Amino acid sequence: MVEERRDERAGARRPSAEWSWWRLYRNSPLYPLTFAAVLLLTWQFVIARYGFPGVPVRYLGSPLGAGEAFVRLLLHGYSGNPLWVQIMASVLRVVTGFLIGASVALPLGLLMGYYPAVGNLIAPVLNFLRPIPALAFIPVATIWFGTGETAKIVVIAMTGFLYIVLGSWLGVRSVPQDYLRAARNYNLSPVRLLRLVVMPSALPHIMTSLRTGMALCWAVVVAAELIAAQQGLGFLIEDASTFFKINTVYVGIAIIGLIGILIEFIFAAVERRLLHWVGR
Amino acid sequence: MTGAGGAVAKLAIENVSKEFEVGQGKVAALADISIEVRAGEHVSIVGPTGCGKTTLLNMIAGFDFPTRGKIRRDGKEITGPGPDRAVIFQQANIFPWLTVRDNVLFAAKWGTQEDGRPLGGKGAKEYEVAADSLIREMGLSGCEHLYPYQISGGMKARTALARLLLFSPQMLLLDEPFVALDAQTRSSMHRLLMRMMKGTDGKSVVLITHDVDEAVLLADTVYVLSRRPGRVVDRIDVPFGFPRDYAVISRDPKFLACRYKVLDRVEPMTIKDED
Ligand SMILES: Nc1ncnc2c1ncn2[C@@H]1O[C@H](COP(=O)(O)OP(=O)(O)OP(=O)(O)O)[C@@H](O)[C@H]1O
Ligand SMILES: [Mg+2]
Repeated sequence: MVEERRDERAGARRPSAEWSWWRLYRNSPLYPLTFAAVLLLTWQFVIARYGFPGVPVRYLGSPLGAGEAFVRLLLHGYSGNPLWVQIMASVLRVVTGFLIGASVALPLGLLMGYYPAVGNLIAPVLNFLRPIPALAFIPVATIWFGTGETAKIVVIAMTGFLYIVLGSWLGVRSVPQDYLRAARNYNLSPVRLLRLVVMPSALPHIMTSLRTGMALCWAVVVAAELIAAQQGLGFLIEDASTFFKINTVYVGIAIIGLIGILIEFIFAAVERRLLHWVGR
Repeated sequence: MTGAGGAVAKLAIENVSKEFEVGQGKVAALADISIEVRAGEHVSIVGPTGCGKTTLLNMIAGFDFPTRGKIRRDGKEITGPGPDRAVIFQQANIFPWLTVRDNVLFAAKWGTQEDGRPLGGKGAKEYEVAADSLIREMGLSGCEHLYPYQISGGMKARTALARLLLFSPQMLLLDEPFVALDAQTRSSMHRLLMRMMKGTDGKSVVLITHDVDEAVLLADTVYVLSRRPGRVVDRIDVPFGFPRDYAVISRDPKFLACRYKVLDRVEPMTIKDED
């Protein structure tokens, strides 16, 4: 789909047979990886060797060094725990927090949209809280709940909640009037109206807010673990950096990025299934 | 009068005016409209853009209420929307997240009558059978499982119509249902509508349109509204039975006379761009 549109913009040239090798490459997964490969090679063979202005060479690390660190992490884990335990610690926190946040946010958002009196009452507070970076609340949560799991999950849940509640509220408000009128015309019961018209119509907004909410939660978990944790990717990065194990830090960062992509990928797949009818 | 049932007014619009509050002031959309629709009568309403046609239809449907005057159905004042007056809107008629078949089934399956009984009045199995034969009759076979984005504008219009016909409402309210269609598709929709209305007397139709040919072809009575605020400037009877064959009837001098009567009323009110 995206591919097709890009071709249209480029003037939809007819594919020519002569460039078949180029086309093969152009359509292979290697193509989008080329740029990343160039960056890594430059880093390995230019920057890691000749240095980077302002940074001592021994702190630069290198892609090969990070590869070695990754193998070490796989074989020996980190600070007494296998690598997958570190990863799962972060993932579990995010999933728990996200699910708690979303399961409060969705009904509340729908309620706010359904009854404008409720929406107008609650919205100002939510709109005030939403732009505040979750990081600002981490110290508060730590004072209230200590350095255990609760504080981290509360902050993650709140981050997801704020984003999702406003998204689903917007979704309900943007249900076209004609759909609601059709529903009133057929005398739909309130429950059916919600289930059969409002929810599906609001679903695109809801999905977008879930997706963005999840991405924000993932960003927040790492930040929360930087401050106080004995496990997790944030802890791994923070701990490795205090010992100047720069290549291990890189591995932690790369895993965070890859999981972020994986999350996007899962959401995109779900959206393709649920929302194929949108926007055509 | 042909095509009309008894003498009882199915729908009575009595001296209806409508004003909207806009900022500090008021906009008069309709002024002192009186229209009667008998059981089985097909009425078209034409008038220049912004004269209050949609506003009038919304009030008949029960989505809005007159500032002055009354609208009665079977003698009772209208207090809100109801499935006895099924509406096709100017746009956004079918749900994009449902297949053609599920859209057709929607109202009959999920809607309820005033007294809480299911709208279609039958068991789920029977609707499905009825829906499938309606889908066939309306030339939608093969599209049952497609989504609205996968079908043409004409098919969407037919889906919207089929959804209403499935639960067989007493009155159809149509707000320019065919504007978005090309001429051929529109005339096939006209034939379809006439065929569907045939033999189901007691079913009244209020059609709003800009298209004078369409208005005359599909109506027993055409009402012409003035520019805003809309008032009834003329009422033209079209004394022909249904169904009508456009190719034949459009050559009939009596029919042409009706058409020109409407046109002569509408023409002076259209906005001219040479001055
Ligand atoms: N909710 C509203 N608030 C204020 N003014 C309104 C509202 N609805 C309609 N109007 C005004 O009332 C007038 C009639 O509108 P309406 O939509 O009924 O016209 P129409 O005859 O259906 O026009 P068209 O043929 O273009 O569809 C217009 O001037 C419009 O601006
Ligand atoms: Mg209109």
